[in-house]
Formats: sequence, C-alpha cells, structure tokens
Amino acid sequence: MRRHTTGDRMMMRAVIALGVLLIVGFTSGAIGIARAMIVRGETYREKAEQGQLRDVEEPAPRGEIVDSSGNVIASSTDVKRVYINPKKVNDYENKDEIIRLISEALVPILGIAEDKVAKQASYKNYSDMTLKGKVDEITMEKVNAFLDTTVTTKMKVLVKGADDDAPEEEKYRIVTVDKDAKDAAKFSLFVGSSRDTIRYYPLGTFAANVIGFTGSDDTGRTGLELYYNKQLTGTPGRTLVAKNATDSNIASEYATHTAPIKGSTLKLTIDQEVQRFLENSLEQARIDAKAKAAYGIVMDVNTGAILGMAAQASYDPAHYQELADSIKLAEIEAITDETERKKALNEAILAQWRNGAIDLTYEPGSVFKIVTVAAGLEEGVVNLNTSYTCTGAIQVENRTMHCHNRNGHGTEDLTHGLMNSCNPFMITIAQKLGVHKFYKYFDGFGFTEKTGIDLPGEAEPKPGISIHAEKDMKVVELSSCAFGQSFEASPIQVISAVSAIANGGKLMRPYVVAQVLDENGAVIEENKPTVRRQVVSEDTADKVAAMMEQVVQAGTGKNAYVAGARVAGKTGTSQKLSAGSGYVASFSCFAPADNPQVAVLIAIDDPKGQINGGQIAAPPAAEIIEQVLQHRNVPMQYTAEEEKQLAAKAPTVTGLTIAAAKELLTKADYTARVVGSGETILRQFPKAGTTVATGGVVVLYTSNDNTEPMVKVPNLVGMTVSQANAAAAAAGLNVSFSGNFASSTKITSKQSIETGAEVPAGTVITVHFVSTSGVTDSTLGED
Amino acid sequence: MSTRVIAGRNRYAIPEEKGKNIWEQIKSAFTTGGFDVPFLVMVTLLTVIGLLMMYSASYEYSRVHNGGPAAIFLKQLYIAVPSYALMIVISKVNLDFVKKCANIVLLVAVGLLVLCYVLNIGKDIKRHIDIGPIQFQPSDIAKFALILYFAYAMDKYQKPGYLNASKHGTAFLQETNKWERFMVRWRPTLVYCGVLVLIDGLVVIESHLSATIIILGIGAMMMFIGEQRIPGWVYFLGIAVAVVVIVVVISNPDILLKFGLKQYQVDRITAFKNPLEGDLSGDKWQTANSLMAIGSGGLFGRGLGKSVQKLLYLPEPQNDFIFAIVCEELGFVGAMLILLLFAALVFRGFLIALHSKDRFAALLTMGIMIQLALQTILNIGVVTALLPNTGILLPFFSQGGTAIAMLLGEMGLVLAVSRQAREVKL
Repeated sequence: MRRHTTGDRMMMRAVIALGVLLIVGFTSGAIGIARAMIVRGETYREKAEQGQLRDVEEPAPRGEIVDSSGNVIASSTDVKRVYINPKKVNDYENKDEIIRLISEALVPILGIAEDKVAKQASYKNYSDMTLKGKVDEITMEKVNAFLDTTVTTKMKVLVKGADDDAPEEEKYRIVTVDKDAKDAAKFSLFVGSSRDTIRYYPLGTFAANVIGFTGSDDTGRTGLELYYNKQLTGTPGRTLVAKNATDSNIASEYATHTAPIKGSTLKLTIDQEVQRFLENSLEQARIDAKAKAAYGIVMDVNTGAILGMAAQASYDPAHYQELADSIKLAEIEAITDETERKKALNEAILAQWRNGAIDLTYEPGSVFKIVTVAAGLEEGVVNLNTSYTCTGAIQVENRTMHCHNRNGHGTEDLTHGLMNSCNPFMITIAQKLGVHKFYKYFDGFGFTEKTGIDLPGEAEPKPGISIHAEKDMKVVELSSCAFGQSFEASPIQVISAVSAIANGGKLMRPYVVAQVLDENGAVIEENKPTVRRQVVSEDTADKVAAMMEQVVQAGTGKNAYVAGARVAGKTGTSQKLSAGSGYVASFSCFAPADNPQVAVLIAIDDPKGQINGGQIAAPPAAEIIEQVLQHRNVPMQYTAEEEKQLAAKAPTVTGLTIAAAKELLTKADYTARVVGSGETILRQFPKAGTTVATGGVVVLYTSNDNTEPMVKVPNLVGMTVSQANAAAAAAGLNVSFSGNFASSTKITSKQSIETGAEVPAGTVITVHFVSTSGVTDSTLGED
Repeated sequence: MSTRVIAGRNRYAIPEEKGKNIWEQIKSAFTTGGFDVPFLVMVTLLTVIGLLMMYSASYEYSRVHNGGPAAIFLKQLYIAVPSYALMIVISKVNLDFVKKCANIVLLVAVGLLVLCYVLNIGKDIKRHIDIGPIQFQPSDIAKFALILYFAYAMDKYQKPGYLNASKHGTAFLQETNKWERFMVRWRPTLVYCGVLVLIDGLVVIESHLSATIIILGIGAMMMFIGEQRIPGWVYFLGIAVAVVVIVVVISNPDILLKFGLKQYQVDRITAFKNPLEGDLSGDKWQTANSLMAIGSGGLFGRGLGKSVQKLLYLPEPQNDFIFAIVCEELGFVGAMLILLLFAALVFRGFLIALHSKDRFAALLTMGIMIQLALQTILNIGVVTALLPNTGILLPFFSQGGTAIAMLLGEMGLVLAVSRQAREVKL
C-alpha cells in the first residue's frame, strides 16, 4: 500500500511543479513581454529612435595611389571636423547668448559664414551638426583653446512636485552656473570635433589627368579616383555612444566600437621617372608649339601597361578649381567683359580636368598608314617589292585626292611609300583590299571599339558619327580612311594599334592600375596583361616595324632618331574633324625596332606655326624614348659612326706629370688646359671615363686649392655637330650629343645648360640634335 | 528482446540480463515502438524557428566580427543538424541502459568541473574548456548529470527492496539505536543534498552565476517531486523566504552593503531597477538596448530580418538577448506564440513523464523539462528586465554548440521515454 501512496504523492507533486512552472513561470514571462512591448513599448521605442544613443561614423582614410615603384602620388591624412550639439545648446535658457559667444569665437577661426553657428544650432533635435569639415591641426589648436574656456549657463530645472498644469514660471526654476564657478560648463559641452580626412597629392600636378581628384565628400570625381572609387573608399568605423543625460559634461563611454578600415591602395603601372620625362618634354613641346594642349602616352608594348600618360597643361588635384595653366590664365584675365571672363575661366577649368590622351578624338592621319600597310601585307595584296608611281594625285570616282607632295614621289616601293607617307599609294592598297577586308583590319586594330583602359571617360567610336560603319563605307570613304582621314580615334586607340605592330601583331588591353593592395600590402585585385586578339601575323608585324624604322632613319620621322635606340615610328598631321578647325600633329613610335619594349605617342592639339608631326611631335617623342630606354636599361645599338663618337672618353691622366698628360691627351685628340703651379696632375675635369666629344678640353689641376676657372656657355643652337664641337672647345667646354647626331645635316635644337651661364671649365653640355628638312607629311590631300 | 513491461504488477522490474550474448546485450540497449509525435513536432518547430531567428539576429554582428553574415549561423547549423539526427538515434535507446550510466555520467561531470577549474586557474572566465577550436562548458554536462543521477537515485531508493537489500535490514533497524535509524531513513535525502551541493559548489567556484541558479532550481524541484522525507511546506517556505529577500533587496539595494557586498555589485541591481535612466554605458547597455528592441516591436513587429537594434546596438544579439530581437522582428503576437510553444512543450513533456513506464523515466523526463522551463523563463525575465542580467541562454534560440547538442540529446531521451510508455496512447 505504501508504495502506491508514494507513487501518487510523486504524481501529485509533479502536477504542482508543472503548475508552478506554467502559471508562475511562463505567465510572469508573458507579463514581462507584455509590459515591455505594450505598456512601456512606446517609451522604449521613442528612446530607441531618439538621440539618447549616438551612432558616430568615423571616416576611414581613403586608399593611397602609388607609382610602379611605390612612390606616393595620392594619399589621405587625418584632419578634424568641428560640429555643434544643438540639442545641448537648446537645453539652456540663455542659448542665444551661448550661440552668440560661439559664433564670435569660431567665425574668425574657421572662416565660416556669420550665421552658420545660429543656423546649425537651430536643428534642436540633432546632436551633431557640422560647422566645418577638413580643419587642419593648427586651426584645431585655436578651436580647442576656445573650447576649453568656460561659459555662464542658465538651465531650466523641473521643480519637484510641481503640478503638470502649473504655469511655466512655477513649474521650472532657473539654475545659473556662473562661468567663474568651480563647476562651470566649458564650451566643449556644446562644440566638439571628430575625425575627418583630407586628400593630398604630394607630387602636385604629377599625372593629374590620370589620377583625377576627389570632391569635398571624399569620393572620386575624375580619373582613377573615380574609376577605382569603390576600392579606394575604406569602410567607416562606427562608435555607438551612450550619452549621459544628467551629467553636465559629455561623459560618454564607448560601448561598441568598430575601427575604420583604410581603403585599398592602387599600385599603378605608371613609372614616376617615365611620367616625368613625358611631362617635361610634352609641356615644353606644348609651349614651343603654342598649342592648346598636348597629349602623350608611354606604353609597354608587350603588356599594354601604361608607363606614362599626360595631358598638358595639367592641374593640381589638391586645388582642382584653380586654373593651373598660367599662359591660359593670362589670356583669360585679359578679357574685359566680366561675364565672358567668368565663362571662359569656367570652361578652362573644366577642360583642364579632362584626359585628352583617352577622351580626345582626332583624325589619326598618316599614323594610320601603318594599319593600311599591315592589312595589305597580311592579305597579300602588296609585298615589300610592290612598287607604285606617285604623280602627286589620284582620281577616286569623281574627285581628285592629292598627295601632300603635290609634285609626286615618283616610283617608290612599299617601304619608301611609308617613308614618304605617300597618300595615293595607301589609297591604292585600300582599294585593292576592298571595303570588307579593309574593315576587318580597321576593326581588328581596335578603331571601332573602346580599348577598355581602366580610366573613366574613354571616347567611344560611334558609327555614323566618329567612324564609318562598314555598310556606309564606299570607295571614297575607303580611300580617305586609307591615309587616316575622315574618321576619328583617340590617342589611346592609336598607341594600342601601334603597339600591336610592335608586339608581333597582338593587340593588348591598355591598363593603368597594376594591382589593388590591402592595408598589409597583399594583392586583392590584379590587372594582368590581356591579349585582345592577334590582328596580323608576327611576320607582317615585323615587316611593318622594319619599315617604320626606315621612316625614322630616313623618312618623315627623322627627328625621332635616337642614336643607338633603333626607333621605329610614324608621323601624323591632320585636321580635327569635329572641331572644324585646327590641326593635331602627332607622332607614334616604339623602340628598339628589333625587340620593341616601349611605345610613345605624342599628339599636339592645335599648334600654331609649324603644324607637322615630324616637326613638332617627333622631337619630344625622341627625347622621351631616349630617356625611357636609358631608365629601363635597354642596351643601345649604335652604328659605327655613332660608336666612334661615343667611344671618345676622357683618358686617365691624374698622377702623371704635366708633359705626360698633355701627350696622352693630344694623342686622344683632346686639348689640355693646366691650372695651378704643381708638377703632377692631382685631379682632372671632366673625370676619366666621361664621354667627351673628340676635340674637347680637359682641365688639369696640379694643386687642390685652385679655384675652378669659370667660363661662359656659348650659344650652340643652330649648329651642326662639328660646329657645336668647335664652339664648345673654343670656350673651354665639352659637349655630349643626344638625338639624331649621325648625319651632318642635323642642327642642335637644345642645349642642357643655357647660353651665358657661368660654369667650371671642362663642363659637359648635352646638345640635342633634330632635323628640319623632309619631315612634313600633311595629309590634307583631298580637294 | 523487448524490455517493454506489461502494465500491471511488476512496473519497476529490472529485466533479466544474465546469460545473454554480446549481440543481444547491444540489442537490448535499444528499443522499438512509436514515440510521441506532437512532442517531436514542437521540438522540430522550435529548432527551426530558433535557427532562423539566430541567423537573423547574428547577421550584422557576424558580418562585422566573423567575416561574413552567415558565419555564426552556419557554425550553429553544422552542429544542430547532426544533433537533430542524434536525437532520433537517442530516442531508440533503452532507458534501462541509460539508467546504468547515471553513476558514470555523474563522475565524468564532476571530473570535468574539477578539470575546468584547474585548467582555468588565474583566468577571468573560468567556465570553458577548450579542445582545439571547440569550446564547451562542463556546467552544461553537469546539469544533465544531476538530472540523470537524481532520477536514478530517486528510483533506486524508492524500490520496495531498498531497506531489505541494504546491509541494514528491517529487523536490524528495529534493534539498532536512534542515530543509526535516523541515518538509514535520511540517507537518500542526504545523498541528494550532497550531490547537489557538490555540483553547485563546483559551479559556484567557476563564478558561473546563471548555471548555479539553474542547477539549484533543477535540484530543488526534482527533490520536491521525488524526495520522500521533506514535507511540502518546507519548499514553499523556502520560496516565500526567497521572494521576500528578493523584494527587499530590489526595493532597497543598499541593504546589501551591510552584508559585505561591494558597491559595484549593488550598482548592478540599481541599474536593473531603472534600465533606461542615468549613464547607459556599461552594465545597463545591454538591458537598455534589449528593452528598446522589444519596445520597437509593437504588435506585429518590424518583420523578419528587419531589426534595427541588432545593427550593433545590442551587443551579441545572437546570445542571451536573442529574444529581444525576436520581439522586435516578430512583434508581441510572434513573441507570445513562441512563449506558448515553449509552455506547450513543457506541458507535453510532463504528460509523457506521467505516462512513463517507471519512476526513473518519469523523473528523468521531468528533470529535463524543468531545466528547459527554467532556462526559458529566466532568460525571458532577464531580457524583459524583470530579473537582473545573469547570462542565461534561451534554449533552441541562443548561439552555442554545446547547448544545442545537449538540448537535442535530452529531447531524444524524452522521446525514448515516450517510446517506452506504460500505455501506448497518451
């Protein structure tokens, strides 16, 4: 019996336990939920929505942009943002006075509008209204000094036990805390600062048209800053701050904090050195040609990587709203009409942001002839032995198309046709190909599509507008296209096509960003060389490259000849189709011709005076390619004549007696000049091993304390190689040659040290040679 | 051979097992028969809803801290799915086999608690044991060990032959002195109390307040049901005293200072009293944000996945305070339905217990259901600021691998009990 009672007892107690759990436990749970959700729900919701808790975003620094060797081009640095807390201000009876005091102090420090403080403080329900962003450290010190001062405050306090319906005066009492009181509030109660970032460009105008700039909101507006904005933008940090409602100091504690993550770094293919060579030569060329603008691209022909890209005149991305081109600025300031002036200034500022290297379209002109020749060779309609007789004009349907040489080039083979930039020959090749086959290469070399470079605003070829659609291309259009007229292309399209010839017929996608790196330098994204297609066979490409080398050695591209560099190139001069007037002089080249490494394109927009590519675009291209090849340690291949010039090096004479030194120098075809009264040579200038043209002067010092004799630099411009050499020697100086110095017809165009400068005797002056004859190729042959 | 015992005279018989071969012994560890379908349906529903809500609540937190919005959820899912399968397997286990494990499980649990204490000497948080990437709380195992041991002991000491079988026979009892007689009569009670004090003591020195409370609650309630000697009024007196103390302390926390507690401990209680006033950082932060989440829910909620408070306002929203996110997203109606589902599960569990084949099965089931109910109630109490913040997980919902695995295993045992019920139909 007892067993049964205990069993029943357990049952009974189990039921009681269940009852307690369900009735007491779960019911109180339900009551808890109801209380929090229904009874107090409204209060809690309001609290949640109110600024009781402040969610502060901490801006993340934007990623850096660095060149191919890691030099910083664009970077972000921390500054401060100053804000007012209107909610706090409005807690006080004397808020107008507080606002006035803040305004009086901060307006001169921050340079904000007179009513800015009052206006921002009027947003009563907010606790963070910006007064000024991007405040630098020095200004911030002044702001903080002010914020540390105290202020008299009058706060309304609810009287305990006051009736709800009581009039204001009875319900509240005013508590005044004098600014001299121990617990006086500081201005930092109302005004605070938080982190902000500012973009800066340590190299100034360097590659500005490629890099672009950021707006005041720290997002990219043009260039790479825009194209890679997503990668460059970091993840902002967040801080949720619990605010204390009763304490008069903003005693806040971080409850949840996530640190900001810096944006990714862009590592460019652009090489700082190459870009400098490009910008320097291009800007000089622009100024010399009095041109509106000048564009230049240096490309690695094997990968499509852009080593340098410039659009002059450039601008400073840190001050993008200021016109950087002083010549243009002077022109604009000369405009008398105020509205006209402003309009012109605005237009000029907008124009300086553009990157003409990718967004300008112009008729490529004769440069395009290499495409026509490559197509003809590839399709077998011509070969290297094909000859043509140019009479100076050719009849196409009912019109006569002229060659730039109206007298005709006479009978010429294909290589000479290209060297002479002969229009009728090109027309004949295109006509032999026919529209379909010609268009295949027009399309193949990328003239009907964007190159796909990773930059915003690349010009897009539009059939019917900037190019002919295949179906609209009749014999007249075909004939004018053959020598690069009647359609437009962008510089990047042209250099891509030229690079395809240099790269064994493979058309590459050009790119500017090599890698996207995270904070620790690990690669997140990578642009790998992309072959768009094989346009022509390697054999054809090599043949065209060899012809282009001839163009530079003896054709219209003579001014791009660089001793030992084996430059292959093609000149171009054309009218701008869409603009209605003006010319674009261009030159495209690559080197070395037998194993091409880099391609350079120079396009000079709207030059005055000399307008031919061979005259004004080839010389800067030569300067650039010479420097780039040296920078990249590409071995030079000199001709025997050049070899002789270059082999001339100052011999070692230090330690010898004066007589022995003189004998040695005379033997080597140098003149000796002795300074000092010693017996033996202590040092020599130029130093042993320095390249010094034969006939030069070597200064011999016999004692160490002698001051160096100074001489004046003579004018060497306009002289031939031998004249320059003689003039320099006469002045006690030495010369070294760059550019096209192999032939005696060349004259100097530049000297590395200005005329009239005082330099030590024996100094080596680099003299650059260009040619003036046989370099015109105006393709304006159509009547 | 089925161990199903025909209802009637020999309800608590232990099946004869001598002379069987190994295969039959293994076979006898498992059972057949249908389990309680409504119970399984409710467990499945809670598991699915719990996982879904955990995914929603952890989304933003996981995205920021764990490298992907689904990282925490997937980790939980990978444990929950096999655990669910294990539950079905466990539901086939022979309860007599389980009963035999009680002593071993208790020993293992005590061993792990000691090990945990030793391994974590000098650390701030002393409640985890780390095995490679896996981290588990011995207190989770201790809770189950206590339930299992109590069920086993309360069954053993209740057996008609207990007094006879012991070396103190009935006849001997009558002849011996008062002290020995007292010892024999109170021996079971002393064993229960001893085990409870041992386990809870080991949990207390790990500074694990929530587990201490839960274990104490489970122990007290199981003793109320299965212990023989202590009269019912003692329990109610105990509850009454506890309630009075709680009310006094909460209404006047400063009184604790006289009992040697530190000011910051008092501050916690004060903080809980006015969750949304004063400085909200620190201790109040979680509760304040929890209440703001709940309050934002309204009648029907913001909708699944649309909680605002989970967006890094509420710290670790997938843990203790997940119910606040449930309230915010599913509203008052949704929260009540979930609470009702929990209550229904507990009710059904007790029903299974009352229809089980023996005292052990009944007590085991009730112990498990008590644990589930206590955790649910205390968790909701904390989330809705009825109770101070102690860090109790919500079963099926909160993040925690050991917790979900243990829970589903225990549900498996309840299903096993339902398979081996005294009557086929409940």
